[in-house]
Amino acid sequence: MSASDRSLASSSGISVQGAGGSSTTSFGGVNPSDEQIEPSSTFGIFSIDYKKHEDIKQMLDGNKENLKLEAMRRIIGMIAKGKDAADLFPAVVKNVVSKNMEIKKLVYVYLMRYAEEQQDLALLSIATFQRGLKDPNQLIRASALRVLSSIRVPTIVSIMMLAIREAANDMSPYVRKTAANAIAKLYALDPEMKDELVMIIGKLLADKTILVTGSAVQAFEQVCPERIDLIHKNYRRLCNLIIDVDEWGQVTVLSMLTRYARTQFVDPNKTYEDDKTDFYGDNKKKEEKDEEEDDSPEKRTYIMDSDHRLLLRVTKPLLQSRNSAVVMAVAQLYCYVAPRSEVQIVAKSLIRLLRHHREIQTIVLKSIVSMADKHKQIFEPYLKSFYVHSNDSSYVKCYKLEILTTLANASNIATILREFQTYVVSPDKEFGAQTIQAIGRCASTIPEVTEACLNGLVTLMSKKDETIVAESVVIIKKLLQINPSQYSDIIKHIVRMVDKVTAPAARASILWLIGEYSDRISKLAPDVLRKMAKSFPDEETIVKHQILNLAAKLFVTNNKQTHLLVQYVFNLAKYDTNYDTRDKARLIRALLLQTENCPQLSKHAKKILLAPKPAPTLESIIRGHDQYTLGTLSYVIGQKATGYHDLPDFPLVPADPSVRNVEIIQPETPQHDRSSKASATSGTKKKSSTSKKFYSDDETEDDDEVAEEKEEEEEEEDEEDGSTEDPDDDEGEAKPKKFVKKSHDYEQLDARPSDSGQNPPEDDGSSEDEEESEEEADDSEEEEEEESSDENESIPQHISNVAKSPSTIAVSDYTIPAADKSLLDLDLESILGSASTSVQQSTTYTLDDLSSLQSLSGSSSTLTYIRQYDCLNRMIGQGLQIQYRFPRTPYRRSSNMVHVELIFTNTTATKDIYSIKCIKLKSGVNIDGFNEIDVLPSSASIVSSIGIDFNDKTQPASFDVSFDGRQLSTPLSISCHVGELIEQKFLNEQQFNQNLVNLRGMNEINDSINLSETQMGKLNFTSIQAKVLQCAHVSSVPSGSGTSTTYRFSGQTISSKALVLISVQLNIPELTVNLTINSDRIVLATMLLKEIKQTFSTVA
Amino acid sequence: MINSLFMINESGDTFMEKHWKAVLNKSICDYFYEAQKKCANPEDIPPIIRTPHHYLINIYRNHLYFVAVITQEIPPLFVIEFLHRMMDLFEDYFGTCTETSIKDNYVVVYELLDEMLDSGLPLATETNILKELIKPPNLLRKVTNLVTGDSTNYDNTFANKKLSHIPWRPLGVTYRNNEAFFDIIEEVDAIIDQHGAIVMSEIQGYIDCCIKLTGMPDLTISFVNPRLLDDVSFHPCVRLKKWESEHVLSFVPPDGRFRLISYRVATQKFLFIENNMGKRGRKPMKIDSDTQLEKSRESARQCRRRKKLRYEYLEELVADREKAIAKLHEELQRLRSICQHIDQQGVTSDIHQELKQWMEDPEVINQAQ
Repeated sequence: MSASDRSLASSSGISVQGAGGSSTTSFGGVNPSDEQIEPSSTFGIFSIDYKKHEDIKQMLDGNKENLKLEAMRRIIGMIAKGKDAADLFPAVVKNVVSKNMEIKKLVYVYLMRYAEEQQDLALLSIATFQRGLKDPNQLIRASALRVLSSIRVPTIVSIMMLAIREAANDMSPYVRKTAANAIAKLYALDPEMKDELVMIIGKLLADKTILVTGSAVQAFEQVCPERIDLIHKNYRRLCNLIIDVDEWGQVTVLSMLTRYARTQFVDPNKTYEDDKTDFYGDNKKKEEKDEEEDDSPEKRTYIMDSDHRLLLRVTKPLLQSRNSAVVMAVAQLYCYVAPRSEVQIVAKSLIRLLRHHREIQTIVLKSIVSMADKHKQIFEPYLKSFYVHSNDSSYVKCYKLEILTTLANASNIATILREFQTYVVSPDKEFGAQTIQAIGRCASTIPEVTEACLNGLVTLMSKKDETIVAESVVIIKKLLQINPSQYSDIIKHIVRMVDKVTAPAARASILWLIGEYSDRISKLAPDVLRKMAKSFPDEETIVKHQILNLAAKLFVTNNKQTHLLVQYVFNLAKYDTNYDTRDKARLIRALLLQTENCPQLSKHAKKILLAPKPAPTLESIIRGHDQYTLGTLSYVIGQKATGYHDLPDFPLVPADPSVRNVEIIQPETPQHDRSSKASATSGTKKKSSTSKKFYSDDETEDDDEVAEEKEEEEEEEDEEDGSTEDPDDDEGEAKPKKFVKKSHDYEQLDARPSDSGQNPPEDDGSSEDEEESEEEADDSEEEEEEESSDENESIPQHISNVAKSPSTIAVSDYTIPAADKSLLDLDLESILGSASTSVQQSTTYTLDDLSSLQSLSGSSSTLTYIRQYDCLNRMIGQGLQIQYRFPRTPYRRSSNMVHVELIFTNTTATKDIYSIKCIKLKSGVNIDGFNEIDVLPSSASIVSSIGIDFNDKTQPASFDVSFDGRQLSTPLSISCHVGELIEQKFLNEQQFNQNLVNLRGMNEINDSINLSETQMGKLNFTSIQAKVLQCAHVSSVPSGSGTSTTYRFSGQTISSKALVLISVQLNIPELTVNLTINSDRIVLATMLLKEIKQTFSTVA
Repeated sequence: MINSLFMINESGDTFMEKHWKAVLNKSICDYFYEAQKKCANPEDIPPIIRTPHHYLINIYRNHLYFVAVITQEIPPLFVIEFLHRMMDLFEDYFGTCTETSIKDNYVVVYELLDEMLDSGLPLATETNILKELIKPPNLLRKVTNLVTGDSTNYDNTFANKKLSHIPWRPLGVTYRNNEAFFDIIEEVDAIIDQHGAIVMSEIQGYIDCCIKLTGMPDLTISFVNPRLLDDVSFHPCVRLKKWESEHVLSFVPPDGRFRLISYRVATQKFLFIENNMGKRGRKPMKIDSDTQLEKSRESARQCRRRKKLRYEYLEELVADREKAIAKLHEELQRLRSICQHIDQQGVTSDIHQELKQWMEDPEVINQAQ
């Protein structure tokens, strides 16, 4: 206490100084360091308490910021040292309105400490917090809420409730996190608020930001752990996000998920065993009923719930966390939820933790003790990691020894015993004694080494060290008891040692041995008793008891020689100071000497005293903690802690898995995102939508950071244009992608729909035609494929067919503009109902969101031409179908890559496809692959973006895809239409002409098309634009004169950014159309020209 | 759910306390002192001490005890890990974490504790974020504070700051020289028995980084032989999925010093670990352990040379044996012809002569001897 007193005095020393020189700007006041004031500490001792506080009060009441800050610092110093500063409350609370950030913070600290004691005064500060809750800065809002919820004043419960409710809807995730933290605090203050709080928790659990997740789950655990139904809907999201949650949140989420899994899934181990017996049962029946044979394999295999599997898979990488608590939580999860065969993987990580701090080692080792007991085999390979180091702490040594003993078996006992030998002679006596116990346990559990161990222990008895000898004797005694007949030599040896051994426990053990096996050493026993009788008064209590036992037994077996000695001993015991000894003596005396009192008992005295005794089982020192969940506080202390709940047992019948299915989510963004868009204050609010994607979907994260600024600007521009455009953008861009896919499903389901009857009424006739033609093309293609695979099974040919297919698709199967199509599909969708599973929506949801972001920075053209090509046929892909399309938006990660969207569809009805991975080929074009897709549920589809640098060539790009752990035998290839190699480039007419001048001569190619009169009549600006845009992703150049018959389009190649200028000139009198393309990529231009020409000539 | 924290020095003084929930009296530490008295070695104090209503979880480091008071069930490792993290943070802020450094900076310590825990639950534990909120003390600032009289620990621009959405990296980091340093530290741990044989050995390795890069760099490190690193733990910035699938370390690093990975290699022999590091987007840099490579090449060459010698020796041996066999065969033929001669014509003088000659043959004599 002296040090703290001194430092306290020193701080009071400051005050005296400050009082003296408060008028001048005090030097000491600015610098609070202790050393500087040290000399005055003697003076400080005599300073009077009230005076010191007066001084601080003065400083606080003044209007100098410096002095206030200094005063607050000094007060904090008092609080830190545990000194009471409560009487300063009125002076401090005034400063809560200070503009200075640090003063404010320190006042907050003070309030949190003392508000509880001075509730009335604390209420003065509430208004400030309420104002703080409305502050535009998220950090201030959060800290205001934090303090408001921490001051523990019951009268403001309703204000807190209001604040939490508001903060839970805050735009900033940081504030929402604080709100989640505040929930538990409010609940502790007033449990009656529970219902309302549970509602807020439900909302926060569904929050999209990972920052909030950890705290929300924590609040859930604190307030309503029984409301497991709140988790259902969030389960899959939690699983997928857990890897990005902060470390502390991970621990909470993991333990919650463990509990959840125990209530929702069936025991993976138990089911397996049950099915095994089922299997044998089937075997017997099989002879009778052969038909059942087909069913039996299905019964036998236990199929884990896919959500159960998901949990195990997503938590596995967390074993590599640097945070030991996370690793332990995963280990706990695996231990209680995983099938026995998979627990293995936690061993390595747990052993890694043994390199951490001593305290962590202790707790981890203690947990390993239990685990090793349950699952011996998983730690066996790491036996050597448990060898004791000389600098281990005593607990660590003890646990390591325990683990080694547990892991010992016939094959490794030799090495373990050799290791033990060195431990026995270690300078740490207690540890040596523990080792001997461990040897004893090994000897008793492994019969092969019992003999060797015993011999070893006997040699140990000749050691000088008292404790070791004593311990050995005790252990030998126990071992002998297990199998006494063989070892009479050892017994004799031990008996001779009775004079040398002084440790009471050992002496007692020897005496017990003599009494028990006195028949083998009939000559020695009475003599030992004589010696003991002599030293009886000086012995320890347990030795005395054993002397009495020995005497009684000898009296029965060898009455003649010993009865006088026995009486002498009993007389000594009668006057012993210890009442236990007196009692014991009285009991035995009654049994043996006073036979007339209870003749019945005395008759059986021999039976009573020399009854065969069960051998003691040598047990571990730390047993019986198993009843508590591994790794919990209760487990470590071996006692039920407050708030501890046992893990529930697995249910016998699995709970309904469908509760975890997420409902259809509207394509619109979540509420706070939307509101952030609506209100024009962007800035920090934007973050709520970007931060959510960090790391979980890697695709966006890189660019988010860089492009954030840009996006914000763009967003603002958008908002200026009109707020109604925003939702349009979202849906317009998101829907086509999703629905194009659906229409395809539909086509496959009904092989040949009777056209107009089923199709919804449409206002656009041509679109229906297009639709039909597409269907036909698809069907014929499919037939073709099926034929080829049926006829000769030659896969290479088949694949070449597939690879060719994109190019073989006639130009005529171009789809209509996407805007129209989405309308059509909307109707289709309404007829078909929910054709696709909800899973699909949940997975594509983020992608939609993503693409909606893209749309912000994407092209301004309202027309988008999207065509899908087959990449992997569902026959070859065993159910996995991959299609690709060119969304014609810039690829976000690299500007010179073509953006390609891959659509993965699982066409099987039952099987989920796992871990679809992209493997790049070494040679060829540069591909930016997609992220691994963990699971693709049956009949669902996922859209994934990749970027390909085609280098302005139409050569197909190829890459390998593996799924379910297998790699496809042939690479997939994506061939790029020439038009997709071009991106839009906006030029005005003047720029166009300027560039045109540079691209004359050999860079110019032209062609003309002859048309009929009717065809010519149909051509106008829109139709021409549509045609050109079908072929290539170019933008039209606004023409200066309205009546011109020349239409210009400009674009540039994606890889090398070379200009491509297209001019279409109508020559109406001659019924020709002149096409001119200027570009220095002449090969590309030629191909493009050919395509455009074809498009024009097919004008109907 | 840490209720209170007490910092205790080796002589048993509670020199700082902080309460996040209801205030607890210092006397709760008496239970700790009791346990301390029982143990001769401070390392032997049980990490968790039970009291009638509370649980004391303590750590001992740098001759200081941090004792956290818990009232409810909570994973003990959670608390221990947090206390250690706290010490790491103080070390980072003040250079050392000792009683004097904490006492000198008690205001900063208190502000830190307040930011780190919200009602006993960890809030912000990343050094970078905390440094953004609360400036660490340094000499320069002490001097300027003295001169200007302004001495706030909080950033004055605090109010305008945005929060970085990567928890470990602040926004707007700029450096004139962009540099990144990687230290690879390996410790070899071995138990050697009294006969000098290695009972157990393992390598514990760390990669400590000091990254001073502008903006939001995204780094990638690939290893020549990542299979060696099978037991690794990562800083949270490392993308675990990428490691799982490609065995490539991909991460947005925190600013300044941090431990990127630590790994354990259990082995009987000592292994060379070769690293080949590259950084996406910028100049690739190589840290090649050329010398080690050269060593192993040299030893391979020697080995080959020795093998060649051995082959030559064996070939010579075979040739010798073959020669001997041929000679024996010759002799046998001669004896056979003599025998045939005897069979046909009996023992003649020719035979005698022949035999004599044979007997006198130096080789035969040699063999007989």
